[in-house]
Amino acid sequence: MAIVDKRYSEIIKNNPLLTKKQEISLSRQTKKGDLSARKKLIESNYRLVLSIAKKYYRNDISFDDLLQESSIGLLKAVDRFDPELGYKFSTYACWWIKQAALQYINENCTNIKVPTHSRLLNAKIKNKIKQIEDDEGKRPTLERVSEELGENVNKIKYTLKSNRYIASIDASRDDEGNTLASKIADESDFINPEARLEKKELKRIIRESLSLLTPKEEKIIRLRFGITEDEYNNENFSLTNKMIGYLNED
Amino acid sequence: MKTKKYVTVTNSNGLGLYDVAKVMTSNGDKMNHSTVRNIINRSFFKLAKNISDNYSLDYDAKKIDSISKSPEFQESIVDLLREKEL
Repeated sequence: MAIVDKRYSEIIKNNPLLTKKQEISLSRQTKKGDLSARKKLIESNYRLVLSIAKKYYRNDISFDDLLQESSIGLLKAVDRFDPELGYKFSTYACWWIKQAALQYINENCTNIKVPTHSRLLNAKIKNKIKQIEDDEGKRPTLERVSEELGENVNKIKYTLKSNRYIASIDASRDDEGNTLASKIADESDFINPEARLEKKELKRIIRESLSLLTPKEEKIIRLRFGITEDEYNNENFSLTNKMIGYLNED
Repeated sequence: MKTKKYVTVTNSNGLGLYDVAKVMTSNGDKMNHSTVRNIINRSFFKLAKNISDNYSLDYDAKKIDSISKSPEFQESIVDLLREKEL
């Protein structure tokens, strides 16, 4: 687990949990525009942000960034909380914090952004597949998963496809900084258009040369190397394929 | 690098020299297996000569003969003939 910023832990240490009464009073003051009350309410709930961020933390994202983004969720909750409804602040705030954390993860865990609903459906599909696999010992078909989840098969296919793991070929793969791209030789025509042109020219010359062959010569080469002429146009051959096979057996 | 001795026939429909001779004879071109081999060699020689002329390479008959008999050369011609059928 990443080390929590020192300032953050100090704030948490200096601001103990609030009672329900304190929460209501601070939020009422906040609504009236008291900035110090707002600050106190925010700082007293950093503990909640930290606990949620820890839950959502994964290796491919920065913990500090996740914490910052989750704090934005807390700010939203502070501004929108209505103390008159009688709920505890943490009950309301945790949804905003979770939303902010999930949004950050969704936008940063891959290079290609996938809509949150698609990512959530992907998680549902994966869980369902795992559950069926555990129960029945074999991987279910997409039709089965579609039945179980009540979703269209095409939608499931599309969701799985768009949520595939993506690896950058320019990302460093080892300690020496070697990338996947450096290990794969680029043999595309774009890298060496001259070679492509030469190859094309050679092919053209060979094709032209092939026209020098008489029909008899071409027929013999085709027979020798098993290059079939038009299968339906074997009127030139009195021998059928079956007979040729028979000859081969001799 | 290890050099090839024979052209690899990737298709199992390829026939031996004797069988090619039989098929050609039955189609009215009477010939034996040696003629078949000579025709094949001559054809590849013709192709190799034309290609070297196109590239203005002043190869003598011996060099062209060795090129035309090389499995790599024959294989590439066979591949192109296959493409032609497609």
